[in-house]
Amino acid sequence: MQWQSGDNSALERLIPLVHDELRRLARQCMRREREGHTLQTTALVNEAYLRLVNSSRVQWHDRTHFFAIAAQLMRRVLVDEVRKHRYQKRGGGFTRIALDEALAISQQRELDVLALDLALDRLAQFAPRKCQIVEMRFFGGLSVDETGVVLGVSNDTVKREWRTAKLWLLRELSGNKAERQSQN
Amino acid sequence: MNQQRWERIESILQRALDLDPDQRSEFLDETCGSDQALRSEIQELLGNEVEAEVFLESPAVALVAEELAEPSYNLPEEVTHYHIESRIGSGGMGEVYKARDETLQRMVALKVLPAEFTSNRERVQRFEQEALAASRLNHPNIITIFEITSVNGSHLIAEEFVEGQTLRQMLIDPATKKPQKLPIERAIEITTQIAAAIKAAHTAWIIHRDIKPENIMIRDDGLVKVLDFGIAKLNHAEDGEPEKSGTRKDQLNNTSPSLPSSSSQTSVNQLTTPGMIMGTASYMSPEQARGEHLDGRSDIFSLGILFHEMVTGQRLFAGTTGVAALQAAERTQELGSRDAGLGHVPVELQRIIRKMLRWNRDERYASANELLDDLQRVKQRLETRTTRRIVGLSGLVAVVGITLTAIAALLSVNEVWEEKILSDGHTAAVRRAVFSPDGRLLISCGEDHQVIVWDFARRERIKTLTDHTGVVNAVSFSPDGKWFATAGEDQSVIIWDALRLERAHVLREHGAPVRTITFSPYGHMLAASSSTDAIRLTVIWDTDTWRKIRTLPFGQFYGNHAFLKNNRWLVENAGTIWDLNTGDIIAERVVPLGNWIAISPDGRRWAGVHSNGRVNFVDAAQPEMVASHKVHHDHGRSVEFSQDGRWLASAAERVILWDATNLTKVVPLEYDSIVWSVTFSPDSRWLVSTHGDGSILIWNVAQRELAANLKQHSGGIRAVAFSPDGKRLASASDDHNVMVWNVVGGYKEAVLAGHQTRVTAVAFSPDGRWLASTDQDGVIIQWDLMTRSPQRMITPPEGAYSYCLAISPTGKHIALTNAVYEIETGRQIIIAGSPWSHVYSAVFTNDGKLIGATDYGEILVADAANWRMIEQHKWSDSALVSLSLSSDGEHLVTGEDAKTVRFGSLQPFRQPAVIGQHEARVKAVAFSPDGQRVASAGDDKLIKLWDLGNRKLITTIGTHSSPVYSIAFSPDGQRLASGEHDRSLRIYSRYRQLWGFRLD
Repeated sequence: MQWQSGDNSALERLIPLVHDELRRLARQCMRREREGHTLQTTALVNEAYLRLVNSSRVQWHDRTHFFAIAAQLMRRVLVDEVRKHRYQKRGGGFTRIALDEALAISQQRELDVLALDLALDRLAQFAPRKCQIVEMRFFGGLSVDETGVVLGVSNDTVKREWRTAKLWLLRELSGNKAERQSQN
Repeated sequence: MNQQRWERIESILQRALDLDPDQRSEFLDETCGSDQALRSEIQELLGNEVEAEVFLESPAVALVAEELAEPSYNLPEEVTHYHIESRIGSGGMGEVYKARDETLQRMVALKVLPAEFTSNRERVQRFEQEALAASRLNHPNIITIFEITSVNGSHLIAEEFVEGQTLRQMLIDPATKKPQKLPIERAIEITTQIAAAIKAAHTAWIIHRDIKPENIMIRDDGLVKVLDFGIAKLNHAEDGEPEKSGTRKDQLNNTSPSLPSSSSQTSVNQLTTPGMIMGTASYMSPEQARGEHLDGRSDIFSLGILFHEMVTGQRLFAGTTGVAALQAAERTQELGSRDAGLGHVPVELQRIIRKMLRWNRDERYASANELLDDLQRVKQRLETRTTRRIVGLSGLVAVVGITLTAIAALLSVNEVWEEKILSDGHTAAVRRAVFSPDGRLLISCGEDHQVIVWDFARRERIKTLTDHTGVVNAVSFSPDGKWFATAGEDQSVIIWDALRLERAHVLREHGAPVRTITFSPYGHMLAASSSTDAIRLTVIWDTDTWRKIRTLPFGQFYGNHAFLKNNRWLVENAGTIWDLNTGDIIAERVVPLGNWIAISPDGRRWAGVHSNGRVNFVDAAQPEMVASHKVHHDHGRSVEFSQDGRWLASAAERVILWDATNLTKVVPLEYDSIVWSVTFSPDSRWLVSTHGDGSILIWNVAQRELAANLKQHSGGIRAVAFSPDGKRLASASDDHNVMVWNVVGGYKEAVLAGHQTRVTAVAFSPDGRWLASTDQDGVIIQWDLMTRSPQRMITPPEGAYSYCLAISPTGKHIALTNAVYEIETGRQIIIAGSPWSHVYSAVFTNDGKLIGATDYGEILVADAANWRMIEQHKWSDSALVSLSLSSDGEHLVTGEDAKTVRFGSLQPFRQPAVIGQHEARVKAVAFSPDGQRVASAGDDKLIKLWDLGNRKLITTIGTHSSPVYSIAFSPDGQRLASGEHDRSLRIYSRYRQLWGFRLD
């Protein structure tokens, strides 16, 4: 997806905003102890978007266009953050973390974002719209309705494709896990 | 993968997903034809269906933020014999991980101290001493510390992993995220358990010094665990002067007769340090905030703040910093003069809370023991309703003293409605349940030390056996149906005569808690195993003589064993097979199955569920693993095959039903509480699961639906009715059943099953011998209460429905929403010329009239002699939902959609007046038998009691977490019952109190 050059600078301004938001959430996680507050993340992200839209002088053609690009951007920022964090954890020296290593670090984590990122690239090769749906729903925090509006398809289509995309991704990710176990 | 291939896969996948899981296999056979690769790929994708429901459903930002919050230092996946599974959280003590102890095969919470902490050698030493002292505390309410160790400079504490939530979590409403209070009985229960923990610690000279909601864990079965004993001190960087020994006894004020041993004194001596402020500000005692010497009474003060917060939902001292809290506390001083939000709390409890919170510690309870005694006394008084009558005024004056406040109190007599939730059977987690071979009996056992025999078809309790003196872990039925055997933490195995339901033999051979017990397939042997940390053995008895045949070692895991189909080999969960005739090992650790194992009825398949939540399937012929799925996120606790070999159920945080023929997941069966065990009925039609909250659930295997809960209704309760003598209570529920309860004994007398849909109304006959119920389809069932079975069933024409039911004073007619029925003949009588089909609520008068309230806001009056309408009055602009008639038949009260409670006269008719309002639809109204008061209840989760004389609210009754569907007064007006959306049936008993004393 492309965006107009005028929008570019505004999007760049989104990046630090996402970073700030992420750090704030991370701090909350650290403080949380066992209190078990669920983070109202979607709300927070939407809030961040709104602040940006309001603060930028750029006239967005429409809100949905902006959300679509923002979701893509969110994916990039989040994946980069995780990669950076793991790099630091290993005390530097690695420039790239291999997939199986990444999984080993994430241990029993329900979901490994880096592995998901790679799987999404593979998904995009034969089912690009599904990849977009996952980007918008998972990384962008958009609802089914919003995703439908952005992509110009019905809610039912979004729901159906979201469902099959998840099944495919789950199999991709669990396949990797199995390989890892057999190596141990 | 190319696009065409994917599109083909996807279109088949979409269609398969829309099908019932049963039909998929056939569909795939047809659609995929000979393309096996295609079929298996789709099958594989479908296999993730359950997991996909939650996958990617929480936003990425949260996930990433959580990962970023992880410590920047490196923690390997394996630390000595611990395998790190996930990070639980972080606290003042550093990071906390969920880990598996690989040697003992159990989950632990592993605390890793932060690096900055461990740099100071002295502090590390003190930490170790302190943890060591705490680890010696052996009490069910104190978290068990397994190990304190250091690995490569990291200091670790491994302690018991507790599944449950913190008190802080309980004090927050999950929906609104706002603070909430707990029901009073729950608050008392939790406080009592914490007090018991504190008492044990104080006896060992350990002060907690940081009692706060975050340090209290409540297990799903209700057991409270206090965390981090004596650890608070370690958070502080300074190290003060050790205080002199010998002053300890005075300071702790406990009743321990002996002085502590010298070794524990060493650690205790460093416990109390003047000039240091530790602990969490909001829960600190005044002396703690001032940095003075601490003693056991400080913990009592902190517990008082907790207790107060549990019953009010408010934090007493809201300041977040030590200084602020101290100032706030100094300002408010003690609770003595303030209401502190305790208005709704029974006065006896207020007294306890106030005493715990005395500013001067000398005025508090001197020891946790004293507090416990007082709590127990008050709890008993609240529960058993023992009355305490005060004779004459002089006695009272002597008690309270003549002061202005006392005189004011004399003038205000409080009315109190004590709340009790009716439930039957176990009062704590149910560990196991087993069917008799003929499927007629179900035997359950649990943490309340009880063994209960149920009539399965009737869903009723036959007998409760209380011979065990500890948690009963396991139960097994002999294949000939003559015996069942139970095994427990009291180290005994009891053999019961299944015919007489009496104890036949007690076998004590283990010298350790017995965890699992099994009759051999032919029934000539009984095997029982202990799998504690210290003792692991299996004892085999001959079931003719009940003599011990032999003792075998039991392998590495806790869990169970199973007999192989040849009747002489026993396989234990680590995969070792024993020949019971010779005592030899046939094969050792052939294949790891998991902690709990089962063998298919044909003997060809073994299945196991592991403590890590993995379900494994083994081909018995090889034997080798054929499938393994990580499906549970809690310890596996049970796995069972159905007798027909078609199904398998595994249990952990929920039940998962498997197709045992192709080893795929069929469906998860969700319930609010953790699962302890699963078992199938001999006919394979029913699956029974037992749960942490005392529930025993019965699932319909074919429909995969919850059919019943032996403890209480498994659906919302639509209607309640008292019997004319007030001794019984009937409840009608969305779960298709009517239950009859003994009001005095508080147990379930009968479950009346016969309706095919939700039961909407129920009423007792005027003579109390039968009752009638109706359902969503308008079917009426007349139940004989002697035989507890249907006497007559009236099926209305298609399309009928009913919201209400009224029985005429003669007992000959029943009025429903759309018509009246003659019971004898089932004849339907349509009330001529009236909009009777819009009646939401109906009632008969004693003088032969039928009154109905409609959703047009009208009151209709029909003559029961000729079933003609004689009056029709406009009552309200809103739909009338509920109606109650005064016992003299002259006055009506109604509840309506527009949230209003109205009261009016019928003879002669007068326009009604508004009594009061709810915040949502008023679902139920009830006149008190004396006609002086009205109770109303609604979707706003409130029951309100109104005085008809001055039309004022007297009080609100009970604490409800969901809409109240129905209410009823007992004939003497001393009790009120309510049926609620959250499946609870509650009884409230009325008494008046004055200055904490019951007057009646």
